Amino acid sequence: MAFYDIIVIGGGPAGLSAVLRADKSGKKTLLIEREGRLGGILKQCIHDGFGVIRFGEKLSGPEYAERFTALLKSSNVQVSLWSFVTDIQHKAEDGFTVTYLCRDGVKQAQCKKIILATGCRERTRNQIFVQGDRGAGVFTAGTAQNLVNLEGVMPGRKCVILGSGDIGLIMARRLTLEGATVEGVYEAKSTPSGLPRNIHQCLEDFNIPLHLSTTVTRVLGDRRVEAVEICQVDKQMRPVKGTEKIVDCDCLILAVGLIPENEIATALGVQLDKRTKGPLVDQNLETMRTGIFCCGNALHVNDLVDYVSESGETAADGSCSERSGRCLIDIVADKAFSYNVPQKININDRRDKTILYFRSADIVTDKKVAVYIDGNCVFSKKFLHLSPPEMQRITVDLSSATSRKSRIELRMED
Amino acid sequence: MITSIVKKVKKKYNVDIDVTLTDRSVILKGEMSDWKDIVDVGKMFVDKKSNRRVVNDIVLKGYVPSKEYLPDIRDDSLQDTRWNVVVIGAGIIGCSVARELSQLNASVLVVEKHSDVAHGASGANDGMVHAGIDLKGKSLKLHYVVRGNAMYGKVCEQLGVDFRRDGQYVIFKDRLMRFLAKSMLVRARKHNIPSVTIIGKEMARLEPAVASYCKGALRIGSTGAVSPYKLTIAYAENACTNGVKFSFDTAVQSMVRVGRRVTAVVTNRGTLFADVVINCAGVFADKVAEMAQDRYFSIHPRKGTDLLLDKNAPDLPQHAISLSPTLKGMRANKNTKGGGIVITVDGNVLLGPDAIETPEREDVSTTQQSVDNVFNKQKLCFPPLQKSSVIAYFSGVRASTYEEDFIIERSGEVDNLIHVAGIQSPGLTAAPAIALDVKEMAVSALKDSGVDVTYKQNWQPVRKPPVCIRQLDRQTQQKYISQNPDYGTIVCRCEEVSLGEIKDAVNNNLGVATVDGVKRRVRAGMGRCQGGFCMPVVMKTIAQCKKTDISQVRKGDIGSNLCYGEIKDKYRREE
Repeated sequence: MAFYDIIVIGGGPAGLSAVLRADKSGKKTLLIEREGRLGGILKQCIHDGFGVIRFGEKLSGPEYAERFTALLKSSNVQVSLWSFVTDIQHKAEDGFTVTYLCRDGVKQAQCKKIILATGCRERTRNQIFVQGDRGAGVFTAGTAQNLVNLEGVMPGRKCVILGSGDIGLIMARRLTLEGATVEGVYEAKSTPSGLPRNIHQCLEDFNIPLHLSTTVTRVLGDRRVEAVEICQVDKQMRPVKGTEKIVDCDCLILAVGLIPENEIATALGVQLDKRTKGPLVDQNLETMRTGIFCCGNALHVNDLVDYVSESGETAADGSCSERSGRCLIDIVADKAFSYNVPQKININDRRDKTILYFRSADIVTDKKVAVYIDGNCVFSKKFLHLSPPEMQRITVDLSSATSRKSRIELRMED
Repeated sequence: MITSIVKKVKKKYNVDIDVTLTDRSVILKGEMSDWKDIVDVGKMFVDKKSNRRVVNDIVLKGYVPSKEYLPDIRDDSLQDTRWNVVVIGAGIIGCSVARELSQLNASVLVVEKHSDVAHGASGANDGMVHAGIDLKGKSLKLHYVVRGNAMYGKVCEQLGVDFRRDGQYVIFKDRLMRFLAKSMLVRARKHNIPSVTIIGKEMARLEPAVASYCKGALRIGSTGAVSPYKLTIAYAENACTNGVKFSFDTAVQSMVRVGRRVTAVVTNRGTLFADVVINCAGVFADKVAEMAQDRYFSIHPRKGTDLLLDKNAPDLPQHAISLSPTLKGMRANKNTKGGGIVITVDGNVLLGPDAIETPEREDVSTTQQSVDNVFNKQKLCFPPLQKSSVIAYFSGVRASTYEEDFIIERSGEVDNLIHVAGIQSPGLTAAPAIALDVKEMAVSALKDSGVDVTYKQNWQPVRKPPVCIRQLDRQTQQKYISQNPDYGTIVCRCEEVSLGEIKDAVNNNLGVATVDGVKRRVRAGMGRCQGGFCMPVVMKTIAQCKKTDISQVRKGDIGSNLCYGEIKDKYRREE
């Protein structure tokens, strides 16, 4: 059986940066990817805007991925494509035994550490309880993007988009460019879910209307979508009777949220965070099960790939260093935050440059985000504007949290 | 008798119903403004002691029936063909009958208006193999469900279909029910239903979440679980292997009747001739009977919705459980057991179904109301259930007669017509037993038509189960992958389905190559992402295997193409 220091599962942006970083540290690594090409979802993201923070330029998804895959050639990383992990066992003496299927058969490999970079999946029509007929023509935005950009086929000619998540906005533009009519983007919330730049560049520039506080309640058409019923919703997101309207279309595209893929993590007994739906981690992105790390969208859904790559590197650094015994304390965030990653700090390890990602729970202006340790402010930064679609990143020195009784607090202040 | 019912109806609903009695039917005519009332009136005329069945032609005021689905294709592929037996409908009944008929040296054709088998109720079923404990008195249902249940192990083994017999638990909320349940033990013994016991505290140990209210349970050991569409597919494929022909996208539009015989069947694929016709048309069974001028029963559609939960969701029940009806509920005499929690043979938890009377035979759209009602009802049974665990829900329409019993008989008026109608729950359980009897009826009908059939020497009752990589041990997986590397390429990540399995599904002997067809055969797209990742690969695989363009690939029926040609350039040129 082959032996590795680190096995990275998932060859998207998080996994690529993680495996390259670990390789650079001289570790023997294996990258397991379930598809036939590396790059993950970047392969189908042919729009630009990737890498502004990391490379200082606007790249397309495939170009961004290429920056990493190019480096693989000169590395010692072993890559196994078309490979699907079916089982992971852990024994104190052998470390992890990873079983995976590939075109050569059933393979097994052992390693000391595992980095999960399995990405995320899209919420489906059923999860948001869209009712009605079940004809063809209802796609998640990612599936529609795959069909248009990778297969080169049109999923619809007259589209309605439900949800103002970024992929939905990008697909509104993409479908318009390919000759489809986008009737409108409908968002149940009273504010858009996507980044402001996408609202401008994908909707406003193409005169595509955005209808807030409106949702799709029913699909009509038992063979192919013929129309959808839209309906206004109240503050509790419940449809308002009497506001139903039928919109003719042949396609409904759903951009209603992403969920970290945690099948492997769950099978390994990794504890998840109810808010992020990804694992609970410390500053090294090590999960509550020692030796298992998590990064990228499998950890929490990011809005910029640059941060995904960064988290891959953080996980790789964490998995490359040897440490004995963790002592974990919580970062306690107030209700103004929808979540923070990491959720825990290992006080037995370096924490002077802890990268903290967070999202605000609501849209707020002129707020200070502060970190307190035992009541003492160790970090404070003013934000002119915070909104849930925009993930924030701060670097904080948490060295003064020294005992298991230390209290680290994340607060939003005026 | 009839007059007094008419009076009762007049008093209760203030309408005049016109009643005609024939040898076989009591025919109702009139107009009412509420569908449920129309169904209730129909039920009032049920007289199980007589041989007359209710034909309810009371119309719903202002109601315009929806256009019936007819496949958008017309050719002469069946024109002037001659068959010993034509089976109308490829649900579980049509397919199981076809498989038993395939033992005979006879030409058998199954016509189905949809693009795959199990399109109707057989595909939207909870998959429970019932014990029949809830059935009272003399009925065909009881007769066939007990026989059918006993046949399941062998049938599924022969056909290579997964089947589990894990039993079910009907939980009592009050101690009184536990006492009353003893009558169930008596009934079970009388009806030959095995392994029925009453348990006490053990129930709370089996499912700790019910402890707060559970006062015991009735354990029914012979209840099982099967995939209703996989069983239907298996029956059809085995029938096909043994020479039965299937014609999909083929709708029966009329029949030619001469004297006491149906001589020709007219379809959108041509007019064909049959010695014997078997009506397995589900919700359209009365319409098919009418085409043969032989309508002596009515089907009233009853819709039900099921909810499917994520296998990995937290706090799931481990057993098939349901709440015993309260005394009050028992008196109300509802036509459904009120659904329950089922563990499907694939290991998902399924909730449902409800029962909604509707004039629509084909409307399988879901409603928030039904989804909410089913969920809330089963949450009473298992309080930790979470709505966020729901990954799919679907509706089906039961084909119920007013007598709420099966009709399995040779027509009294048409010598070469057999009706297998009103097969609603527990029709799936009953199917293996029904099919055997219908085959015998067909043999005698053929004989009466002057066709003496013999049995095949080389009949092949065993169907090799499809390869299922995820269920195999490592050595066997290795063996398959080394023979065909496609078995090592996992395409559906939620259900762990390989490219090889998908290709096998596309190349089935029935010739069905749709995305839904693949989904039902190998589960690609059935998991939590509902095909988000694998659908484009499945579409591409279908296009490759069938040497066609990806834009020709359909979700299911004709007209359900998933995409419209290539992007911009070609798309504009075509316009």
